[in-house]
Amino acid sequence: MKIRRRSSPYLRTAGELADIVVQLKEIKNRPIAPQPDVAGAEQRLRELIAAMLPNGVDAGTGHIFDELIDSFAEEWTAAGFRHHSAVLADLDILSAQVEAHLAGHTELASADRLRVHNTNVALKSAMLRLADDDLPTTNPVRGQPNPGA
Amino acid sequence: MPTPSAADNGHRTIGSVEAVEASDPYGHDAPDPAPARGTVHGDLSQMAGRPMNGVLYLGVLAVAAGIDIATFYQVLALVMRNVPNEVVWLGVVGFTVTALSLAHTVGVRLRERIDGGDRALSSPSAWLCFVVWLFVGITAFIVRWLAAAPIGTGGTTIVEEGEQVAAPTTGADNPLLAALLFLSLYLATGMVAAIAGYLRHNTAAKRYAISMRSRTSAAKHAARSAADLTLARQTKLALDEERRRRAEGWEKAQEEWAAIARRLKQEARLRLAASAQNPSTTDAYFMPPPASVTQTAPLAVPVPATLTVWPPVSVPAELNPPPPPAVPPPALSLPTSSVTSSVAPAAIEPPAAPEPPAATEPPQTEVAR
Repeated sequence: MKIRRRSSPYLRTAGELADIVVQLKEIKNRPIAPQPDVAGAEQRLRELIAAMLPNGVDAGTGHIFDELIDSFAEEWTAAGFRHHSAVLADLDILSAQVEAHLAGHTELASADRLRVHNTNVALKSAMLRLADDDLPTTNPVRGQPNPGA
Repeated sequence: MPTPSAADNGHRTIGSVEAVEASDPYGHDAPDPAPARGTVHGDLSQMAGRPMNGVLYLGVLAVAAGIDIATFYQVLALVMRNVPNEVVWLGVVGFTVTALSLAHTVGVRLRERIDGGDRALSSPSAWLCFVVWLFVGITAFIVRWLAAAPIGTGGTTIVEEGEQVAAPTTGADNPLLAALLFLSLYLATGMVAAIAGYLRHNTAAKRYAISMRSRTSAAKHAARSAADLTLARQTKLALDEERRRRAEGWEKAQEEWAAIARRLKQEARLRLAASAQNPSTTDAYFMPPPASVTQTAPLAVPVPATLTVWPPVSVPAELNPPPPPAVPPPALSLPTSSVTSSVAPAAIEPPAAPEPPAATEPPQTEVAR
């Protein structure tokens, strides 16, 4: 996807933000966690059970596969944690970049809003002057030695 | 800041500046251009833009500039003989622009004086521009009159019997007449420029136009910066949402894998039991779930609906029946919904066996007051 760079100083970081959005979309497409090999574990269990004698296990030794199955689950959890940590690290990097953009854009937007406010005041004054050409252009009090006398 | 005269004489025509200052400090509200009640002394139609007769003035000024260029070239060509022709033309254009600008500035300054309520001729800058403009014209006139015409630089040469003869001088070649013609054109074009500057200039309208252009530019910049700020904020929100979604998904994935592990364990036991082909072995593999056990097992000790403190305080101890044997509390696996007790949980505790009274102490007969 080709990103169009903007030349305006007020949009100079828009391209970088667009890059961040593209990276965020890529991260969103990643799975939450890698898919565990459940079918492989089941197949392994079937093979192990089939390899045992028909009466080789009694009621007291029914837990012989528990440790194996727990190890399967721990392997899945460890792999998933690695994947989850990597994704969170990428999100942290993007978040830091967005925070930097946000700080800059907040200042720019504040300055621009203040500029619009000032031009509103200037425009209002110009409209008053246009509507009433008898308005004074100087301070009438400044030149008087005794104002009000 | 309020304007004293407008506030005092009641001729305030358009809103109030205080309303703008008290409004949103970031300028989200544009000033209301609708005039309020009152008398309008100025010309509000200037807000709609300049009239189309400005094109006529510009056309006249363009023609005047052409005339000036033609006349100035004749003057500068006299004094700039040893320079390239391009440089002469450059000087002519600069000379013309300077002269017209001076004349135009005179008109503008006079109009500004009148707009400010002062006398028109009391403007020093207007006088200064006028004097300079007039000096430029007179200087050019003198140069055009007194400077000698270039000889041998071009034109037609008349040769009679092998000797060059001078061409007869006509009235059109009289330097004084040509200089007077130049001066008249200079004065005419300068007057046109000054009148255009005087009539076309309106201080209030000019300030309004400048303010409007500045506000439009500022609004465009503010719109862009607001869009960028919103984009950054939404991106941050999307990042936070993605982080939250992943945290929840990670927890659910762990729960899913734990459930898969439990299922595999059950399946392994089922396969082992199936291979034994013995119902009693199958029963031994699987313990019934605790919920079914507690629901089907009879209660060892019925729980009374209400419990009383043992022994009663108003009855002598020796008359009391023997206390019931210490019975362990009922299993806590009782469904709580089946027990309706009106006492506090601490009162459900079985009464402890009273200590045997000492032989020397009288029975406790104190009645509760």
